[in-house]
Amino acid sequence: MNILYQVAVRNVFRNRRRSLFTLSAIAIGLAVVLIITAVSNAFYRFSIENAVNVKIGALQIHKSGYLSNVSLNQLSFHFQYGQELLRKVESVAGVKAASGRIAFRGLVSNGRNQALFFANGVDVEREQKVCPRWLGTLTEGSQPLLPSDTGQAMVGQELARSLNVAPKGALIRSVVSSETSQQTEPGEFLNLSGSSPQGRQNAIDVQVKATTKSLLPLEEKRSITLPLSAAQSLLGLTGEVTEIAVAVHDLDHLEAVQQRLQAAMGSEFEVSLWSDVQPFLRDVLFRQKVLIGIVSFILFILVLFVIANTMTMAVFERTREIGTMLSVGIKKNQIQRIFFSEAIFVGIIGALAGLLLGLIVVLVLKRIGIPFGSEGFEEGMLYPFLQVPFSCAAFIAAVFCAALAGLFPARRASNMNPVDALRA
Amino acid sequence: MNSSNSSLNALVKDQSKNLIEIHNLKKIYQLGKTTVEALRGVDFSVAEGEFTVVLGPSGSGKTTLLNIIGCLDRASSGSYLLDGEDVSNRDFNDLAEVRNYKIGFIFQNFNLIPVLNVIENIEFPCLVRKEQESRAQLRERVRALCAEVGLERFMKHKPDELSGGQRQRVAIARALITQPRLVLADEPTANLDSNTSDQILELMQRLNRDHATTFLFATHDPRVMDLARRTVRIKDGMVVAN
Ligand SMILES: Nc1ncnc2c1ncn2[C@@H]1O[C@H](COP(=O)(O)OP(=O)(O)O)[C@@H](O)[C@H]1O
Ligand SMILES: [Mg+2]
Repeated sequence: MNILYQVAVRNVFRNRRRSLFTLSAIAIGLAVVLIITAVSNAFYRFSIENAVNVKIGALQIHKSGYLSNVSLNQLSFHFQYGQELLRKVESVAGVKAASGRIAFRGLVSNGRNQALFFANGVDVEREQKVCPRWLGTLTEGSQPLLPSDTGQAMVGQELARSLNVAPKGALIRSVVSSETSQQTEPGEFLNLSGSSPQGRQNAIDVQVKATTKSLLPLEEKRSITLPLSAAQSLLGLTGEVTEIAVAVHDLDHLEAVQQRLQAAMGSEFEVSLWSDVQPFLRDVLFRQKVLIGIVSFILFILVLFVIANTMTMAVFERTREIGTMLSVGIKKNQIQRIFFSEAIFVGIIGALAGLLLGLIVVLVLKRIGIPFGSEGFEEGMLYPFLQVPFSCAAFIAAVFCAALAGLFPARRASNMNPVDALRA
Repeated sequence: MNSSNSSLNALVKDQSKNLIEIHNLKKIYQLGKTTVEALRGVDFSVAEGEFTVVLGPSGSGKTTLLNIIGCLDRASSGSYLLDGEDVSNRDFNDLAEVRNYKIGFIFQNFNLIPVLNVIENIEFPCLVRKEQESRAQLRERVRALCAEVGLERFMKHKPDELSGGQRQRVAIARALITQPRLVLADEPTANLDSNTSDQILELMQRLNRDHATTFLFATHDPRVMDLARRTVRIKDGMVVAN
C-alpha cells in the first residue's frame, strides 16, 4: 500500500478515542437513517395494502369521466355488470380477481334522527377475492355480510352509536354502557334513502349486522356497506354497477397490469390506480417520504460537521508533521491526499458499522414487528424492511459525507506554509 | 598531454564549484506594523563536499538562513543559486522536488513521523517520489544506512520507543537516503546531552567524509566549532566572520 495511505490509516488508530467518537457518529447517523426508513417503508406498505386489501382494490374500472366528475352525480356513470364483462377483466394477464360495486351517498335514519352516509354496495361473493380484508375490523358481536344477505348492512361504529343501533349480539354490552344516560335499548334496523341517477327518491330498510372500526374517524362516522343487490334496488340500477375493483397478483407491477387492462377495456372505460382513486393517501405517504428524507439529510449534515471538526483538530495537532513532510519534499496534493483518505477511511469503517447496526436492528424489528394503530386492530403491525438499493445508497451517502467533511481540513493542511508548520 | 591537463583542470574546477551561492540575501518579517530584519544582506557560499558550521547566538538568523537555503522559505531580496540553479524566486511547492532530490534536513526536534517505524521513516522521502526504485533495492539501502548510523537493532521501532540520540540518527539516515547534495542540520544537538551530541557530531562528520555530502550545520554552541573545517559566524542577520 502507498505510504501516504499507510500514514492515513495509522493516524486513524493513533487517537483511538477520537476516532471512536467519529466512527460512532457516522455509524449511529447511518443506522438511524436506515431504521427510520425501514419503519417508514413498513408504514407505506401497510397503508397501501390496507387501502388495496380493505377498501379500494389495486385497480378500479369506471366509465370514462367518473373520477374527474366527483362533484356531479357519479351514479350516472353506471354500466352493465355481468359475467361477460367479468370474464373480460379477469382474462387480462396479472389480474387476480374483479368485483362490481356501487358507491353512493344518502341519508340514513333510525326513525327519529338522520345522518349523512357514504355507502358501498358490494358483490359480497366476489369482494372477498378482490379485497381480502374488505370486512375490515368488526366490533364484538358483529356478523360479517354473507353472499346470501340481501337486506343487511355493516355500519361504522360511530354512526351506529349516534343512531343508537347495534347488531343483535352486541345488545347486552350496549345496555350496560348506557346505564347512566337513560338511553332506550339500541335498535337493529335503519332506513336508508337515496336517489336514482335520474333523481327519483327511494328508501329501504336494512338490518344492522355488524358495526365496523377504522383507523379513519370519517369512516367510523359515515360508512355503510351493503349487498350490491340492495344498493341496486335502492338506486334503481338493477344489474348495473358504477365501479369494478380489481386485484392483481403482484403489486410491484401494477402499472403494467393497468396498461393491459386499459387496452382490453377500450376508451369507454378508465382504469385507475389505487393512488389515483385515493390521492389523499398518496399525498400523505409522499409527504411522509419527504419528511424522512429531510430528517436523513439533517442527520448526514450533523455527521459531516462532527467529522469536519475532528479532522480539523487532527490537522492542527499534526502541523509539525506536515512541516516535516513538506521539508522532505512531499507535495501539497500528497498532504491533501493523506487527510482526505483519512476521512474516507473513517467514513467507510463508520458506514460499515452503521450499516451492520442498522440492518441488525431492522431485522430484529422485522422479526418481532411493531404494534401500530389503536388497540383492537389485529392487523396493526408494522414489519420494517429495507430495499437493497436504498441501503447501498445510504452507505455511499455516508462515505460521501465523510469525504466532503475531509475536504476542507485536507485543503487547510495542504495550504500550510512549511516554515510556519515546522515552527509549531 | 594537453587534453589530459584540461580534463584535470575541469575536474579540479568541478570539485571547487560552489554548491551554494548567496548574494546580498535579505529576509524581512512583517509583524503588524513592525518589521524584523532577520537577514540583512548575507553573502555566503559553500563548496561541494564541505562541512560548514554556521555559528551564531540565538535569534541571529541561522534558522531563517537555513530555511531559505533549504528551499522552504523565500528571501525578501538577494540572489540564491543552488547547484547553479536560481531558486530564489520559486514557490516552495514548486521546489518540492528540489528538496526531495537535493536536500536533506536534520532538525533540533528530530521531526520524525510518529506513526511510521524506523525503516519507514527513513524510506519516506523516497516513497513519496513519482519514480521509485524497487522496494527491495530501497530496503537494502535503508538497511545499509541503518548499519552505518548504528540503528540495526531498532529498525522496527516506532520513534516514541527510541532515545533522543537514536531519533536523531533516524533523522540523519532519512536525510541521507535520497543521496542529497546538501544536508542542512539546524541545531541538531540542542536537545541532546553532551555525550550523545558528540556521537552525533562525529557521525555527521564521518558521513560527510564517506559520502562526500555537503553539510551545513547551524548551532549556537561554540564547542562545535572545533570540529568544523570551516566556520561562518553570523550575528544580527549578517555574516561577521567567514
Ligand atoms: N516567522 C517569523 N516572524 C517574525 N519574526 C521572525 C520569524 N522567524 C524568525 N523571526 C525573527 O527573525 C530573527 C532570526 O530568527 P531565527 O532565524 O530563528 O534565528 P536563530 O535560528 O539564529 O535563533 C529573530 O529575531 C526572530 O525573532
Ligand atoms: Mg534557530
